[in-house]
Amino acid sequence: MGAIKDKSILLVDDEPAILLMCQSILKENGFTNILTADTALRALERLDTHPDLAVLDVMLPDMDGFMLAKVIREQTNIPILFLTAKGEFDDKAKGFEVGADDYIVKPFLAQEFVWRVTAILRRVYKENEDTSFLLEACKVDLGQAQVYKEGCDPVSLTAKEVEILQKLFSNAGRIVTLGSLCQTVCGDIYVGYEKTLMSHIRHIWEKIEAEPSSPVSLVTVKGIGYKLILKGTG
Amino acid sequence: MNIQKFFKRYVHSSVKLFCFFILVNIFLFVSLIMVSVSHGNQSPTHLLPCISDELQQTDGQYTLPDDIVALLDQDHAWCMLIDNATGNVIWNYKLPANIPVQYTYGDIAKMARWYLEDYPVFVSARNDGLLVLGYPKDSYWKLSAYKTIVSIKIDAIGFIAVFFLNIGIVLLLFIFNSRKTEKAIKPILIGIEEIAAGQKTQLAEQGELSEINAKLNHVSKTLKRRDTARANWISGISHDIRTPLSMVLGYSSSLEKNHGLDSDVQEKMTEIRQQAEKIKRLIEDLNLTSKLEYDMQPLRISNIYPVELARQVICEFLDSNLDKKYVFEFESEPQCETEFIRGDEVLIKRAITNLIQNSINHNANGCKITISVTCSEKEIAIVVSDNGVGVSAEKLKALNSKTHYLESTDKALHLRHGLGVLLVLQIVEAHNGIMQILSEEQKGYETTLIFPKTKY
Repeated sequence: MGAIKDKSILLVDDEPAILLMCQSILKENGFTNILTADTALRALERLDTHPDLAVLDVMLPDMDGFMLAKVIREQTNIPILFLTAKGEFDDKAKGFEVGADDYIVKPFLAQEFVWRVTAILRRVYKENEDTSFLLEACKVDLGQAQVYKEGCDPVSLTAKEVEILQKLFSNAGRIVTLGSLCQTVCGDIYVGYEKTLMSHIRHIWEKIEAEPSSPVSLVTVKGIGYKLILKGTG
Repeated sequence: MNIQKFFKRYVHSSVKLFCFFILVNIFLFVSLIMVSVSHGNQSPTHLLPCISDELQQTDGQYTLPDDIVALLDQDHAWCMLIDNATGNVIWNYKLPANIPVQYTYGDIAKMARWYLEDYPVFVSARNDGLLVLGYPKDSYWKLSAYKTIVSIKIDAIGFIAVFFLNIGIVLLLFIFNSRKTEKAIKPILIGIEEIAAGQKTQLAEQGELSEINAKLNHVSKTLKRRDTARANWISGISHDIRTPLSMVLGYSSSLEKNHGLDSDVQEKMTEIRQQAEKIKRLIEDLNLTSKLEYDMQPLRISNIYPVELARQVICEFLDSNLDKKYVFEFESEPQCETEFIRGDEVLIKRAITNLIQNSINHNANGCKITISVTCSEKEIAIVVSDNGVGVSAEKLKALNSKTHYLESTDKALHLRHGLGVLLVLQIVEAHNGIMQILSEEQKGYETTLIFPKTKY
């Protein structure tokens, strides 16, 4: 996780108080490399330092945030996250149109902001990212498709199981609905997915849980979905 | 429909009025004739036979009784008797001086028909001669009429025919005219109805009533502009409040996780965060409800799967560090999984979220919240229920009969639905669905949203 926290983040907002707050929230959550800009012009100057993520407000004194995103896109391919008071559907649509990776509407929770920033960075810079994680009873390496349990031989995961775990891991600590897990497993088809999904989950339990009959790492939320709990966060 | 009825009634009442007019005319005409006749009963036709009967010849002398003489004097009339054989006047009464005293047959034929020296005269034949009754000049107008029988018949039938034809023409003209009026007024009435229903109206500004049409268009535009201004005003406020609220929410949510702080302070931070979130939801609801109210929120229709949608909403609640005293349960039938409705995903999600939030808000001591999705052949129902405090029967009745938040002039704010639940109602109505509320005090609160399934 260290690599993620070292990424440099460029915050652009015309409100100094918001800049200060976002900065402090990110710092509290371990991000150390934070740049700020209160105008689009200054933001473009800061691009020279090659930030890894740009967090943009839409309403800036000298340029529309959407416009700024376009200009940034012309120069670099870094992920862009909009953090704005403009919450209408059309605004969001416009944001994604100019190449945003995510869109947060103000007001927002500190935690949500951190999650989304982390998720984008993890997704974009995953080649440098550790694809292995620790669970209560084992260590899972998705890159190698292996599960390492203490005192046992490594167990390999099937492609589908890796996909499911990948999905759960990128949303670790949060519930992933049956519908979206199904999309992962069998595309867009809902019919009869639950049994297929259940059998996959059962196999995963056998591989990662100490007690497959009473899972603690991959927990069921009845009727809703599943949640992956990383070691030390439960 | 009502407009047609209005004009039908208008035509009916007008026809009645017309009939009344005809009747009054007939009555007046009959009265006129009667009055005229009553003034003509001392006419020569009445007096002449009297004189003829009463004029007596005794010993070659003619005498007239006094009462007849009095009648003659009253009318300033005069009288004479012309002998049949000689044509000489053999008797007279107050004969004017310029009247000749001898007559030929020709004279008699002429005067019988017309006048004698401008005196209107009337004649009556007696066996001893011709009795002539004369009146003062300019007192009578003598008419002489004769017609063929066929002509009389044609006149009589023609008169009746023309009478009825006239009635018919008047009625036709009248109906034609009111049709014309109806055509001109109908769009205006429709326009007024549309304005009353809160829709926008645009009438063609031409024809006889173009001024009224133009005025109505103006009214419609003004109302629309006012609605737009109101919605924009709300949307502006909700936008402006976002930045300061971001500060409150961002810092409080960050500080409540700060382990360096006292647990006491952390708890207060949680409280601040929760209240800030409440404000956030409130302004979102307010913004959305005003947009829906003024038709400024176009629905973005797509296929939505209520089962998965409900799951996503529940996940958001479960992931949001909600207090453990709120327990969620989700129920759905396997066959509902693939059922979908056509609707706006964001709005329906909002509706379910608001209902769950409503249960949380009203049950500070916690409760079990059950969300279930059931489907039948024609509709899909999403039920959000809790086992919390519920509401009394009266309150439930009040909730079910409350007017719209933005239309309500009721000052008793506390009796209104929360804005969140009203938004749910608006969303459901925008999807042609219905919302039902069931509740019993201390036994919980249940809201059912029923959406029609779209057939392909």
